[in-house]
Amino acid sequence: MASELPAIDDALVKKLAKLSRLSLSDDEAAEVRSRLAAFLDYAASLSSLDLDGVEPLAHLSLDEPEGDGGVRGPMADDVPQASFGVDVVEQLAPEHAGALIRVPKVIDGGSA
Amino acid sequence: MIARDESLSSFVEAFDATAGDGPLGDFDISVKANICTREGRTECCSKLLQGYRSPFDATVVEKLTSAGAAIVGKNNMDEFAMGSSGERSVHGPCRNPWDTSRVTGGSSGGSAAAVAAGLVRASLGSDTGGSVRQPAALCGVVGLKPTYGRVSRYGLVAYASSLDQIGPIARSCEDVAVVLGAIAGHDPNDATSSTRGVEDYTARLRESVSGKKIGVPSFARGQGVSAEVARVFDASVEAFRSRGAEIVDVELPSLEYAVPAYYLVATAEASSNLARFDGIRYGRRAELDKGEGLFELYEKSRSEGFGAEVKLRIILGTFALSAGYADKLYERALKVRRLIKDDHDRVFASGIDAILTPTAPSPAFKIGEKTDDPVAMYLEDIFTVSANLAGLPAVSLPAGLAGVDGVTLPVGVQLTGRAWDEAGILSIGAELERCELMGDAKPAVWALG
Repeated sequence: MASELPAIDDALVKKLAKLSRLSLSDDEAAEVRSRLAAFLDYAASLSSLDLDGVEPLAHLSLDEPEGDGGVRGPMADDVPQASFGVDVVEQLAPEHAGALIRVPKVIDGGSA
Repeated sequence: MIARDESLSSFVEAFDATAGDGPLGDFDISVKANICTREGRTECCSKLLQGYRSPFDATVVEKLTSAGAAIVGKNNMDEFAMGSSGERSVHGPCRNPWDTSRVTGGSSGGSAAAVAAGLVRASLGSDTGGSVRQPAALCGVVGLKPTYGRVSRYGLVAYASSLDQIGPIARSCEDVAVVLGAIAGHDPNDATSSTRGVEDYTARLRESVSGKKIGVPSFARGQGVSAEVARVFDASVEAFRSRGAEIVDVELPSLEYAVPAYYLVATAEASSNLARFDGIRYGRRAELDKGEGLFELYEKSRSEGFGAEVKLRIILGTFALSAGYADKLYERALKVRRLIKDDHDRVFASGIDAILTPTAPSPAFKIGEKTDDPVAMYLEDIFTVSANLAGLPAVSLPAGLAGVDGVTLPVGVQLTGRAWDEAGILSIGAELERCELMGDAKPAVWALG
């Protein structure tokens, strides 16, 4: 596996952290780099397996005979259900203005 | 009750609760801190969810309460259920009642320790790769992971949704069976919960093991299993044989690859599940500096809120799913998952009633001993992850004692069964209880006299 994957360097760790919406200190980044490399080393045994023709198993549906992709669940009637009121959502949100959740400016000031 | 917890840190919060009428009227039960309760906080032992109060009870909590149980508090755990030692909590490490300088195992460490010390009759944990069974083994109690879909996950803060199940921990197979009976069943709020009827899981507890076939993979005595665990494991095999069970060698060749496959699948799902913690709708929100916007809010809130292990797993999961590598990492892991399920299907189709292995490769280790050796920590899960990948029920049972550095520690063995055969593995487990391999041993911290 190691040969098929890029070297775990600072640039890759930085990119993955950004995709994960995390910022890492230099120490944290170094720790992540060494632990990712150690894990991939450990996981290298997976590349020795011949997996051609094996169907990936992403989700279990142990009740049903397979062949439906394992995604069929029980059906529910399509009827409206009671849900939480706005007051509950307000209480959970770290900042709100009345019934609205307050967020920083997204346009002209929100940055990526 | 909870006063005796001071040396264990098994509770993060205690509730005033009284039992009601019903079949569980004699049960005081604590739940892991990632299971939502309307009372108290549901913080998952993370800084990110500090102060979070759930507006609803998890379905399991609702069911236990309506069966008469008293829900007495929330248990300490590894942050967001990510850990195999119980050490990675914002509240500090869970401590093992047999020796408080040692780990409980994880991630449901507080749930297992509270039961082992007699602070509660039973508890609930969650099990994504062994998080109920491994701490149950290290603390000397019974812990069961049900078949995927047997118990509703509604109100369990998700780690890896295709692997997570809530499971009971207690001091006997009978109590585990009673609690399982109360929490199992279909829930319209969890589309993955099965509509299959709920059995009386206590019905077969007095059944003899005579004539049953117990499969033992060569893997069970493989590299990495400590001498103490190997000795207890062999004694449990002999105990079953002496009670009339047929011990059969079985081969599950794919198990060798289970741990790396598990970590790729679990972290991939976690990277997606934990994306919801962004500081917007709930949880802790970071302070912004002037000129910072929405993306800085996400990044700062998450970076300040998540602990190191959680960050690492999110990043590994992001890598496993990222463009260009998903086929080499995530998809390959899913194919190994298929092989693991097929291996188990083949063994059970040959007439095997349960597969017996150790639960963990060694007894409880010292707090801090493995935190710098992540691969050693991952190997704690070597016997447990397969049941999650294949969706099968598995139970850890106390099976004997080991003397390590002058202290006595419990050792657990695991029985894995066919899908939906919780009653079958609990029945075989109850036979092991009757062999009394633990003698009269009690942990050093013991609240019941």
